[in-house]
Amino acid sequence: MFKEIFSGNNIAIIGAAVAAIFSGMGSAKGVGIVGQASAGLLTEDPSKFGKALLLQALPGTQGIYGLITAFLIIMKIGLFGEPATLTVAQGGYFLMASLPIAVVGYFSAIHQAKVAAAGINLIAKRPDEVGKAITASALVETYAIFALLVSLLPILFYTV
Amino acid sequence: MSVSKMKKLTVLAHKRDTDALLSRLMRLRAMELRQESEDQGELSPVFTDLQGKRAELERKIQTADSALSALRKYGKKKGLSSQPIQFDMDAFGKAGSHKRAEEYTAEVMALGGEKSKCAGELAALQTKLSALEAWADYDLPLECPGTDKAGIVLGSFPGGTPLSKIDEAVAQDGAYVETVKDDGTTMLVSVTYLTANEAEVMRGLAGLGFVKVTFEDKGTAKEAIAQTKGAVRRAEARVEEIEKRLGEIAQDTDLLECYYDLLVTEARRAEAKMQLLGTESCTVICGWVPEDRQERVEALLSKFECAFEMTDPDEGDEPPVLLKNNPISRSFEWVMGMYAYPKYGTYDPTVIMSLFYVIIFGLMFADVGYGAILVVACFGGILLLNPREGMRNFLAMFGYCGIFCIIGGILFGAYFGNIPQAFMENMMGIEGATANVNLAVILDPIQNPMGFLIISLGTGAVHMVAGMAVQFCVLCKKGQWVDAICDIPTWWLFFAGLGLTFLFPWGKYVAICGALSLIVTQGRHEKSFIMKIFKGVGSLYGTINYAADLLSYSRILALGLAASVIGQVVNTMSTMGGPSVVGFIMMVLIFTVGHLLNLAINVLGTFVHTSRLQYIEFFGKFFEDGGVPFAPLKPSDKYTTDK
Repeated sequence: MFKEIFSGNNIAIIGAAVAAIFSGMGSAKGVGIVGQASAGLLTEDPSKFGKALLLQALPGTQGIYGLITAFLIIMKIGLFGEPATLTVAQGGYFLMASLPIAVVGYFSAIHQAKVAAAGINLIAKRPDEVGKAITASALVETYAIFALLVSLLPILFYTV
Repeated sequence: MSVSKMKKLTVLAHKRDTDALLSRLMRLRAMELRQESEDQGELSPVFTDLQGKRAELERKIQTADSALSALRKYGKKKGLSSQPIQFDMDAFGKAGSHKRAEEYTAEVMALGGEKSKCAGELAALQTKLSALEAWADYDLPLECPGTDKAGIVLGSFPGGTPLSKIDEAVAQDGAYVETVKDDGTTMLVSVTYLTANEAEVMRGLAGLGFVKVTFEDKGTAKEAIAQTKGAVRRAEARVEEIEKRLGEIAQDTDLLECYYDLLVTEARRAEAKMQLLGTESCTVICGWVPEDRQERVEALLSKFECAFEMTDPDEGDEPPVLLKNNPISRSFEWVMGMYAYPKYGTYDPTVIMSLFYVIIFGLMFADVGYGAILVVACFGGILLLNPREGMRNFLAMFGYCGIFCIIGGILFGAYFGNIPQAFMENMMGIEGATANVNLAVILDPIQNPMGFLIISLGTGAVHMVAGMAVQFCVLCKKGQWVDAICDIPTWWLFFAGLGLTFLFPWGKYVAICGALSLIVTQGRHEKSFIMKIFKGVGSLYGTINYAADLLSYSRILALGLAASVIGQVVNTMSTMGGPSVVGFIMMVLIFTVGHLLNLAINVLGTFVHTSRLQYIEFFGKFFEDGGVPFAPLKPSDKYTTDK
């Protein structure tokens, strides 16, 4: 029973799930935080919707990175075609590879959202400075990008 | 190419000419007003009585703006491609248009007020009508005064109250209850009673939940309904009339738009005048003029009776910054504006930045399909809509980036992700096409991510070295030869050595030479020998900063992979239906929606991260920010343009 549940393939799928779950949770929370801040701005000045939306979209990318990682794992273990039979160790390899984007994706999305929400305050007073607000927020994303790289490279290099 | 040179303009003009002079200067869009606040001497503000006029103008502007927005839904639709109106401000006042526009504005505001009043009335009438219609079957007048002995009252019970129970409650007091209407939720009744027993009857009725209804109308319910319907028709007719009139005025929206721009221009001129200093009969106008517009300003000023001089900026002046670039690079000025403007007199990196911008954008978002969409959408938008300058630059920039996406897509074999391979495998039944067919000229980033990582970091290295080279030139130009030679080539030697170490055994000696040159030069500002050496050795720690900057370029690979993996997922899903009619329909649908979504997400991501690489990794090497953009006095051009 235990062995059947934790088969190599299933552990790899847990890896895909973990990548999608945590980075998705982080992005959902992040986009939510910025969305609340921008709703406050839009009650005063609806014409800034475009700029606010740009900032709100920024913490959404971590969820996409998690999705990419999940899809690559699913493709690698052949769920779209002939499923491979993985050993437990092979499954564990995918699970471990998914950890960087899962953990860093979760936290960086929330931190990025806080910077973006502060950026909403900035564009409330100085709408022309939206570029600076975006850049400040994008600096946080750097680490999600690095984590994505660290997750993707082991997956891409793996040959089942 | 550069930050435009500025001239300081000082004009001494007759006070009576000020208005005309300012108007002409505004039309020329060549001077930014910069009144010196200190050193006033005998000068004092000349136009001190303008506060009231400005407030009046502000009020008029607001009214014109609300009138315009009220008219917007009646006038002809203005598409994205609408062109600004050719507008001659001087003729506007003379031809009586000014007066007509003022009258229109007042009329629109009055009509708008009346319309909303009518709408309120209509709502009230509708409520009344629905109340009356329930009583339509009641034949007696609604406000029946009754007789000496008997009274009549109308009202309602909760639906389903049995009539027998009501009768029982009031019969012994001599009251008669008649049902008018019972729709299940409320029961409408008329009660006839003896006035002598009114109090008892009312108490009996109230006990069963009776609510009295009163009407203001005379006559029967049917008559009242007819009257109310008449009132509704009249109100509706009036609304229609108002809308028709607004529609007529809306045909003349152009006039009101000109009027709006005229008012805003006047307000700007008033504001400028309030800043001016002078004496009783003469005004002093100070400002900045870009060197290449100097002649035009001089030609204009020589038509007036005034004295003027153009001088170079003094030490300590902070002239505004106007960038001067070739037509292609001009489209990238706004990207730099989002970061900061270069300080006056420093190097304007727009050209070199735009070159790296398109290359990095093209690498990060290398895909023939997406690039083609960007090119068609952006340049098509410019050709079809003929947008104003800001929008035109925005579109043109993404258009140029699109061209490099196409080039990148050919080099790295991406056509909407991998649609050719996915189509071959799932629709044409060629086994293993997605794994084996490689369309890339150089390499496929998904199959060879390390190769693409090296290309990314290599691009980054070139970008950073270019940034340092700019710094080298800037320092040389300033005459700081020692700094230029000590701070830049030493690092290059060190980097080259580190690189060569991997390739040749003798490479490490180059690296050691580089390190020694850094140790020797970097402590040169310290006084004591020990500190010099200490600072010099410490400078090697700076390698970490450069390494961090370089690794930052790995985002080119990560974002490139993100775009192509999502593209592949879309392709896999869209071709899953196989070669059937349903399969093809599914393919078209999923393909369109999926790729448009991917395009949107990745254009945003690529734009943000390409910009970031410019702002932090590139500008960080040399950029001196702090310039204030040149903002000349100019007429309002929200709707119009000069004739």
